[in-house]
Amino acid sequence: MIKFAWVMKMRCPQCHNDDPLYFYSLDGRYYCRKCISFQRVFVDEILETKHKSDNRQVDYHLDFDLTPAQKNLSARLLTNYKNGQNSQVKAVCGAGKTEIVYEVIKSALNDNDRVCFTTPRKELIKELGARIQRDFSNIEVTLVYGGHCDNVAGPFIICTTHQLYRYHQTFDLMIIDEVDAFPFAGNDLLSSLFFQAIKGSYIMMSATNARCDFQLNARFHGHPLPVPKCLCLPGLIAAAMMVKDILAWKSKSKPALIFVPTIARTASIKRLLALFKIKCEIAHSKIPDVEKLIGNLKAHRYDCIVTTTLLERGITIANVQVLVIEGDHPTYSLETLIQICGRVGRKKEYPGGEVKIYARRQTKEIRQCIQAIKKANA
Amino acid sequence: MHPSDQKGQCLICFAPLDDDCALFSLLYHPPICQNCLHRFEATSGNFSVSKKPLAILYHYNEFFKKVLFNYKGRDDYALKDAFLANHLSRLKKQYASHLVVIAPSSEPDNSRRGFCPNLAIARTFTNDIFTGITKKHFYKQTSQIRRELVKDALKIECGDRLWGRKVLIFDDVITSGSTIKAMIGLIMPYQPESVEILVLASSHPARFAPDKKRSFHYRLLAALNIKRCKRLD
Repeated sequence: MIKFAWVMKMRCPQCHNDDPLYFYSLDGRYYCRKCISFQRVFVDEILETKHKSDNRQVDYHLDFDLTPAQKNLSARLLTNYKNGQNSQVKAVCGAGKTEIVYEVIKSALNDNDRVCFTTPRKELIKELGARIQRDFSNIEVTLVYGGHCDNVAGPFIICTTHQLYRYHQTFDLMIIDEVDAFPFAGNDLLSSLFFQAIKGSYIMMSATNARCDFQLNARFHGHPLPVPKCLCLPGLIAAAMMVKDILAWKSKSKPALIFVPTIARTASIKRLLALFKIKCEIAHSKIPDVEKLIGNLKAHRYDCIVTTTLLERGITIANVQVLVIEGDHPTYSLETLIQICGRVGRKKEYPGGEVKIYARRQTKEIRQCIQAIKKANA
Repeated sequence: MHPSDQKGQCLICFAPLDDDCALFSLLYHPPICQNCLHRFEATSGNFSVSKKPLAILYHYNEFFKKVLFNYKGRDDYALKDAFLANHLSRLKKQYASHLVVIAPSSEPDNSRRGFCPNLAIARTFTNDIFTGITKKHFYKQTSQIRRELVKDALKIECGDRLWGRKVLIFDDVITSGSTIKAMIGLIMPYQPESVEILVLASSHPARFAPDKKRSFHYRLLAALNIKRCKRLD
């Protein structure tokens, strides 16, 4: 029989769970089963985090000037942090969210505070790490994600939200990007791990956050977000139209991202496009080297990538065009559609582009996505 | 709050057990839900190692692999009750008079876990347990290139307990059968009344079929040309 913690009110030091159903006894000590996928923690355990201090003075350099809106927001985030207040930022895709937190990161690191930049997606961590290393000077960045966990101590950690279980009441400044992304969105366990890792204050950023203190509705280059066109067509005609669109973009050397709702669908679309001599590759969670595929698309070695929602965020490809197939599929939530549309026009040299959603009917999510983008552009 | 006021939940997926209305659940109150119970893929047929009867309960499928990893790799002691949920009452009766010999496991791993995985599972159906077979030195079985050398790495202590007893060798997974064969080799000099083997899972149960030509599994695998199975004893 399960020996539950009936008498005492217990609390897991890792995930803060206090539901007695998740506690189990081993030799008279109780451990939490709710967060055991991260590590086993006994309720009487005192969790400690390895610290590594660094007294280096860091600075950053950008190849472009921040817009007045970005500068203003950057200053307000710094003030909030100095006052020990939390901040929630809503900024449209391509608004330059990462750059607006550079100032507050610099200030915190120079004050010898511990800083963490976290996001739910592993692909974004690698890209973010490279970006920070490039833009900052004299900085020591520790990247922590699944399969890259040998070194977990440092003054500045960039990690996936899953790795936050390693840190307990550690960070004076915690920055989280893409709060609305899977698997963080709606996951109580990851949310608990996020809050228990914070010692000071946090900055939450996303493109679709309903609750926000600060908003950034314009992209850094000042051009509006591309409004998606929703075309309600039966499957066969939609497929023909898709091929026509990609051939047109191919003739103008425009790379394309084709979003499909399931992994199974990627292969069938690839086979269809191969009939028309369109060079394409597929990307989904089971494909190991997605970064290489993106690099090849940027280098125009492929005409398009057929992908699941894996590439919905964090990807910047110059002059990219986007097609969404089966847009009425439940996979496409409002947040997902907004992020997908946000892939287009992120570069200053190519601020525009096309986003087409092929669907059998216009869903509530598609309508809301179009309205949200129009509202942000207004 | 009294324990009986609490609703139970599945040890594996945490789903409430109150939703289960299968007759088996109503009669035996297993600690896992019907959905998880069905994902343990049962084996069928007769098996043997070194001419000793072998009972393999499940196929080593992805689900079993995951649950075993959570138990042994993530140190989730609670899962000891999950593996035999379907067989517990039968095993208690069948092996009531047996002395259960536990396959040896790594001491450093057991010390980290705070429990011995095989021993904890065996304790769910018997209290007559022999833990005298141990490793002479630390080695990882999966990293052994020549598995038949396992026999040189095991030793037995207090083997007198085995004299004239019905012995049941218990292990979690059988792959090549080398460990079990080495254990049989260590047990036989003490002249037990009988030796039987119980393992939780195997990825190739057909390897241990008594007559491979007559084995349905072997013929099916051979017909499908999935993998040539080598008879080991």
